Amino acid sequence: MNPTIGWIRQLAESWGVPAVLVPLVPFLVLLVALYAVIGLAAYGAKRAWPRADKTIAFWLFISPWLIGFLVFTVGPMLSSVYVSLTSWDLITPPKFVGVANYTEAFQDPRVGQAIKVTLLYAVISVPLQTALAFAVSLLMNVDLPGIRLFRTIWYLPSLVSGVAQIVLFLWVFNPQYGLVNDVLGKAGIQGPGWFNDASWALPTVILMSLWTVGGAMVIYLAGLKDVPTSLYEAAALDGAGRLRLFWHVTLPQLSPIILFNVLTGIIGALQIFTQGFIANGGPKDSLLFFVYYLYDNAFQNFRMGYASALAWILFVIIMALTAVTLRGSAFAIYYETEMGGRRRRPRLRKG
Amino acid sequence: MKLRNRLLPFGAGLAALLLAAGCATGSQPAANSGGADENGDITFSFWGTNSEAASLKAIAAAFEQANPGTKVTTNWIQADYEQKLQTSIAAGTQATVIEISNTSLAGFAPSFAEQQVDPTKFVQPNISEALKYDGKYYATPFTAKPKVMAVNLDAFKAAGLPAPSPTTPLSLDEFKTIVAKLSHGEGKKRVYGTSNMWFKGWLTAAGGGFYNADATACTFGDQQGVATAQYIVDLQKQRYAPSSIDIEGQDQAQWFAAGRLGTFSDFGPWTVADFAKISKPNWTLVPVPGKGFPMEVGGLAIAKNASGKKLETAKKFVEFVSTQQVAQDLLIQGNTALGVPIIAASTPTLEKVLPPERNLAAFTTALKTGLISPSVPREGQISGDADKGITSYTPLGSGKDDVAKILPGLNDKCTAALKQ
Repeated sequence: MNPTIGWIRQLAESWGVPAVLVPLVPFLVLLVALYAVIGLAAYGAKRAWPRADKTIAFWLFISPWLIGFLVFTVGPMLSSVYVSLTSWDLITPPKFVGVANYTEAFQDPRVGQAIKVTLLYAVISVPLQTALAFAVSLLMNVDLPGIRLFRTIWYLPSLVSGVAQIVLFLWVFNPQYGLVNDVLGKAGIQGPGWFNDASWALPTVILMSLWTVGGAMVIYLAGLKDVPTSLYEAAALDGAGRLRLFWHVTLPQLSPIILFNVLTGIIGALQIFTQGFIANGGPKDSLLFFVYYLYDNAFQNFRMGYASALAWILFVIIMALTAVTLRGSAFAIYYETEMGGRRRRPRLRKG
Repeated sequence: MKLRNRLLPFGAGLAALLLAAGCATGSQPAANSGGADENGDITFSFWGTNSEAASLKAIAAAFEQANPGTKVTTNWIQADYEQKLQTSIAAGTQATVIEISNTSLAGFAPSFAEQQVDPTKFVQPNISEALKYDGKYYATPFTAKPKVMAVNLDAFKAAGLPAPSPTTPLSLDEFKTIVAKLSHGEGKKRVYGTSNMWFKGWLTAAGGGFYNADATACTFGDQQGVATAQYIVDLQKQRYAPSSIDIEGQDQAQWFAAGRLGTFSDFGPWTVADFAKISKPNWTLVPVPGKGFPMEVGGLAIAKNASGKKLETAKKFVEFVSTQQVAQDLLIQGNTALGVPIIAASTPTLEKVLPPERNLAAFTTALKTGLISPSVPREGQISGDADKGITSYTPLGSGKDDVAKILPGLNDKCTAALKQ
């Protein structure tokens, strides 16, 4: 333990701080020290540049987040670059191995399988989720009595956490005692092994993912509510039918929202973990998602260096796919302000 | 104003210094000291269920009582024990005394202190031998977890079979004949002669092993391994034993209580509590057929970086837990057991938990004859990869491929990984 932290803890103990609170004391003391330094720096900056008080206040206000981001996100990311160049089992000191982990990853057949499974999941599940969420939001956009209750019901599954969800679906898709095979059996159909069958495991997870489209549906619904009715009226006056209204008004108006949902969907799909973890990678590595394989190497095989290299490979894949999606979709996205449209709620000048 | 101007940089400098000192990495990670390295207080980390944790907490309290002025802070890690242990070692915050299983010892040995163990204090030499790595002791045993088999006496009676011997194990052929006679019925009411069969366990029972004796090669895919796998597959095919798909999401102890199993072979000391509630069907314990299932040994390791008074207390604590009757008796709490006590004076404690007709003495017999698998570094990866292959491709799991074709290939991969 760091001697300073040990000293602060001892001090706290000698002052009679309850034992459960003792670990918190060094953290709080260091936090106060940090803000003493930051506060003084801000004071000095204000004296040097008296007109920059708003800028200084801005940095002071965002400093808790900024410090957290630097310490808990950027710091570990930079440290993982170094770790990815080492062989480290956490017990013995890390050994520098250069790019050996990256070389191994490019030759590892299980990395290939993990990329294949993850991409396949993303390519199939993201369009399906997008289409379903969009279709449901169109249905939920009609004004009917009780529609709010329906919206709530559709949204509720999104609140179920990943582990609870997969445990629930392991039961639903249980080959012997599950609800799905029971219903299929009553219709005279012999149900598949679902999670136990290598060729059915991934489709089962994709099916499962459709259960939680409520989150995206709410975003689409908000977008639909925001489409100006004047556009529909103008198009209707020009003789547009329902299909044309949808194609020429609704879709273009919602295209930035669709892009947002697709992008976050792709990133989320590439980071899928829980389903693979609970299913232990699935039979014949059929659910060997990339992040699960990364976790497996880090915390089952204790190969921190290799796992860090895999994390950076995933980072590059996600960046590349995001960039391709952004560039590739540019022609299809309608931004109102760029196309000569005007702001719907222009700010009025005071006075 | 002037004084304030002078004091401010001074205060800031002091705060910055404190911050730098507080955030600097310690030169040498020390065992979790709770802020006072020079006193003899120790920390003790362990895994387990509520009742297992209760046992170990009671033992720590008994040690404090026997050694006034000594404090043992317990750290019950309820899930992902090895992962948390490994990260705590990397952070230098590991406990002074650490519970470790013989199967995981090899991977952690570099972070444990070497210990002096007297094998004669335990009921059989295998127990302490299990905690040796590279010829040295890195942990002291404090409990053993042999397996026995529960038999449904009502089912035996109904099938016209005599109850198996409480002390002599059945042969594998005798077992096959018996489970065939115990099995009957169809669909979800089918009664199976035996519970789902654990390949590693039955491999040991048949005289084979997952690794060879000196852990230089994997042997689960040799002739014996394939024959044992085929034995299990045959029992599953004839529906004398449920497959892993049949038992998915099911509690086999409940199946036994409902009369759906004739025998329950994977019965560890921790299973006693579940079965204690079962009065019907009538049941008893007998040895696992053949050479029995591999026995796990629970050990106590001391962090390599423990020193001074902490090290002294840690050694005293380990000695107390492993060899003192007051501590060994506490392994049994009510009708549940963390494991079987390993000193002769305490072995009857477990036997008395349930009436003699339940034959908990079968654990004592299994303890004396139990075989122990060698410990290999990277056990999780090596055995995990092999297990995954076995369960993915063969009917021992959810696969359909022929065990004779799959096991030798997986065995070669396993041996290659072992030699890396």
